[in-house]
Amino acid sequence: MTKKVLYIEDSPIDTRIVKEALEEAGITVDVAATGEEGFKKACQMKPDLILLDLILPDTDGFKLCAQIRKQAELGKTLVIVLSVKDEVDDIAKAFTVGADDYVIKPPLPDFLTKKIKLYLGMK
Amino acid sequence: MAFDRSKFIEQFKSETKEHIQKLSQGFLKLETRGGNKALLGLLMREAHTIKGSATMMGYKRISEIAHKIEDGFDKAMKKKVTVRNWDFDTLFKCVDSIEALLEDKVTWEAKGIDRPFVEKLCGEIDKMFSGKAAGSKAKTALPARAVSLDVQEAKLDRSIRVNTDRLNKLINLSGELVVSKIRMNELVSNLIEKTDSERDRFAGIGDLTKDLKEVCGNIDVSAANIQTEIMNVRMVPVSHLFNVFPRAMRDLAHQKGKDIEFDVIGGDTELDKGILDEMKSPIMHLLRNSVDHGIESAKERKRAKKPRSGRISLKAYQKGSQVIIEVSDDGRGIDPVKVKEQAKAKGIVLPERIDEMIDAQIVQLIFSPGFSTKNNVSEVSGRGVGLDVVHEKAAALKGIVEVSSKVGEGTTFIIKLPLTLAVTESLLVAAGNETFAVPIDMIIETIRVAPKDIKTVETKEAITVKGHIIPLVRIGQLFDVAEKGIVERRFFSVIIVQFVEKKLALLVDGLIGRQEIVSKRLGAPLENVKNIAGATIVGNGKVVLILDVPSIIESAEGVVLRRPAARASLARSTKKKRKTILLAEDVLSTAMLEKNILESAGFSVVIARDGEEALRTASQEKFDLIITDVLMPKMNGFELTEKLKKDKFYRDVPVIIVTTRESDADKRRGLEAGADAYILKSEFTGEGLLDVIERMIG
Amino acid sequence: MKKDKKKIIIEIDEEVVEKERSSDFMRVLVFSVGEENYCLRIEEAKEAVRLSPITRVPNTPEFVLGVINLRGEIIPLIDIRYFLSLAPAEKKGTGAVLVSDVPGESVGILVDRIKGTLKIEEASIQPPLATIKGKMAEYTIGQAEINEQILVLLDLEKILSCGEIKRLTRGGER
Repeated sequence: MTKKVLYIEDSPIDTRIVKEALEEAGITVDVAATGEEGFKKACQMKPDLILLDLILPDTDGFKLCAQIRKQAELGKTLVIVLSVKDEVDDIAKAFTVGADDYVIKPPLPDFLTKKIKLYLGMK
Repeated sequence: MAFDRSKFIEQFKSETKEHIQKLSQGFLKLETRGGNKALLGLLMREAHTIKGSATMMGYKRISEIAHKIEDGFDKAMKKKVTVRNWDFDTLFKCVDSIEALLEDKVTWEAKGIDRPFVEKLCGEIDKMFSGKAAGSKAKTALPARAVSLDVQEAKLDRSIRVNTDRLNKLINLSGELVVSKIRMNELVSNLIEKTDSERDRFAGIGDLTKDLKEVCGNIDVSAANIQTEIMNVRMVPVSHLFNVFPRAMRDLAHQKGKDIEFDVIGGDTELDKGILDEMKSPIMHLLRNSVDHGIESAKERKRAKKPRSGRISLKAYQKGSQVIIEVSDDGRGIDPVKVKEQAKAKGIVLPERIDEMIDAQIVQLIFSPGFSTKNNVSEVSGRGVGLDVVHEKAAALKGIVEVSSKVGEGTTFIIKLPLTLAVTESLLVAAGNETFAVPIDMIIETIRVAPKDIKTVETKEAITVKGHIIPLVRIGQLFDVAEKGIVERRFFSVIIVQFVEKKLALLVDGLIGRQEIVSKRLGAPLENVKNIAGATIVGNGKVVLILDVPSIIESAEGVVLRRPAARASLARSTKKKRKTILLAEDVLSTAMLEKNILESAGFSVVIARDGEEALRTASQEKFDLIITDVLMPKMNGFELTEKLKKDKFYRDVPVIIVTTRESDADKRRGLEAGADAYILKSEFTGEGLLDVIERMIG
Repeated sequence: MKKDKKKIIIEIDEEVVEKERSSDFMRVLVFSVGEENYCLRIEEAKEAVRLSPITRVPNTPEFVLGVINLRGEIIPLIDIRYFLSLAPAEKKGTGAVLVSDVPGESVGILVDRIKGTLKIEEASIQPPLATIKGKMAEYTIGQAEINEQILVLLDLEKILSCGEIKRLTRGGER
């Protein structure tokens, strides 16, 4: 069964950069541009993995992450925060609200794809 | 997994370049001395190697060309064919094409090396080697030479290829290692000093620090060795570069229709790779110059009873810590009379100076910028075209270029280069929050100077050291360094530097210490930044700029102190309390003018018409500053200054002497009398005076 | 030799770039300055690194921020803001450095943030907007729109060979 990845990010350019890199590595990605859309899509498609930006137009990523974590049907979904914030406090906060991993933008080319493949058990 | 070629491409390119160079050399030998079996075999093998690796790397066209060459030479060697008409132009065309094909598509397309071209070339090679079956001999054979050639080739090459980028990184790292080593030594010394008193409390601490010191000593030695060895790695035989010239000279001579014998001597001489690489175009330039303008036409040579073919030689040898490269020809030489005329006409040197010069000095003028242009190539044998560029290049590498020439006999260009761009010892100094490095060999001494010993001479600051007035430059001001906040200082650190005969005092905020530094460039757009010679990286990884002492000394002569903040703070200080100035000047118009300038800057001014009057006025009221003329009736400015400085009320009040005289004796007399500054009347109107005043009483 | 990975943001593999080269697509390096997104042709960049301490170089024009230490090599650092007609950054000592080899040797260009690389269709690049004026227009090749977000394609080669830099290279005064 193919693995499903959802990327919640408001900047179209950022979205495309990450999406393109992942697709080149054979990982297909669905995207959502707002927190609301992201949450809706997450509940519908029940992705294996969510990539989450912290700065969103309608909500902040920490809140959204906590919200996702409260959904029982998303219990198996992994959440990786992908953000420019590189302060220790932000990283710690992301983990407290239930993120599984944290990647600082921009990730080194292979770094993110390798990580995702590892999480998804892909080769 | 598929074979990943990309990793090997660079290696392939550089190897192939070497092989085609050997091919090129071989063709050249074949052309000039004729071939023999060994040489043909060697060429066949070279072509074979190129073919093999090109196929592997997917360079199809290269492999096709190399294949044809290999085939041809194989046939020739096995005497299956006899080549009657060696077509060397085609063979060299092959070499050039392969070289171009190693580059990108743009390069080879620009050179017209497309598929039809390659096919045509292959056809031409085939044609050359399509001679009849065996029986007759290949052209001339010279076995003796062939033997030596084989021996040379057989010499075991125990080397590996190292990418220069990697090597440079290693050099950088070894430089950093040396710097860290210095820092570590400092720390260890501190540690030993601090723990000395604690010996009793901590048993064994003495032994530990002793061991530590010993280890540091070992690291010292190793770091120094590593650096020397790595520097040695950069040393390459000049033949790496020189090997390209015979071929180029062949083409050039061909082109110009001249008969030229070209020798290369001393190819084993070693030189820093970086320096050598930079020398390619200057040497080529000199060689071209010799072919173009040095060697006469056949007719002219015959008339001069010289051998028909001209001789040009390229020679390298080591002399002490220098490598000398010489390009000489037996051509017509450079006529100093003509050089002189042209130098005069172009205003390269002052006419009276040129008349003092001897011939050997005059010919050096051909390196002057603008000496010769393309428009007058025929003048002065055309020498000098672009020679300024050769000169500049050599200078950039800390080398020099000279020429010696005899009319009718020939010319020799001599380039002297340093063996390597080495480590220099420097003094690190602080200015504000910034650090600068001053090369030790420029420094005469470092001294401490009290603020009151800094005098002002003609709006510029100066100090007196052993009876000499030395101009003073504040590094912080020169480089617009943000000041650390105003701290009353009892002493300033001053470094006395010297270049040629000129001395300069550099005022700094502190001395940090001596360090060995590896001088590096600032990078292209910053190569010519004023007063900065380069930069280095110190222990903490920070970049520190190296002062260009000669240029600072030179520019200090014309510098009027820049004090951007002076005017603003002047206005501020005058608001609080108007400072009063006593102005001693006998010429009323001058006095009024000066008063005007001072008053408009916010001072209140009292005029005295001679020295005596000034002294009287001064005794009635305490002034903040005295400004005096030198020549005045009754009592002159020097006497007035002396008297004031002896008065306990005026001992600390600054005195500025204003005069029309510019003689050194006067300046000294003024400063001896105790004046704090010495200003020319012509400068009175400028901002200079106000800056000086601000500095004294602001 | 192991590079200090912590400092590198993006490393560009020339061979990969070479392989990818085609006439329909171009790969660009995307970065942001202020609120805007910009990019440049990937061939013009060598790598992107985090900003290390800058050493100011006196007697240089305002667009020269100074020099930095790039793994033992000293490279000039140029402020991209000057060429985009933007005021110098308020917060000093932050940002990322794009390293380019375009002028023949390494030069660093200070930008706010590096975002990553992207493949864009050559055909999707529109000529510069008429509203872009002055210096900025000179250095803009065009722009692409990505889901309504504008991505300006800059001509780094042109920036690095502009009159100001040429003058500086020749040793002209500020």
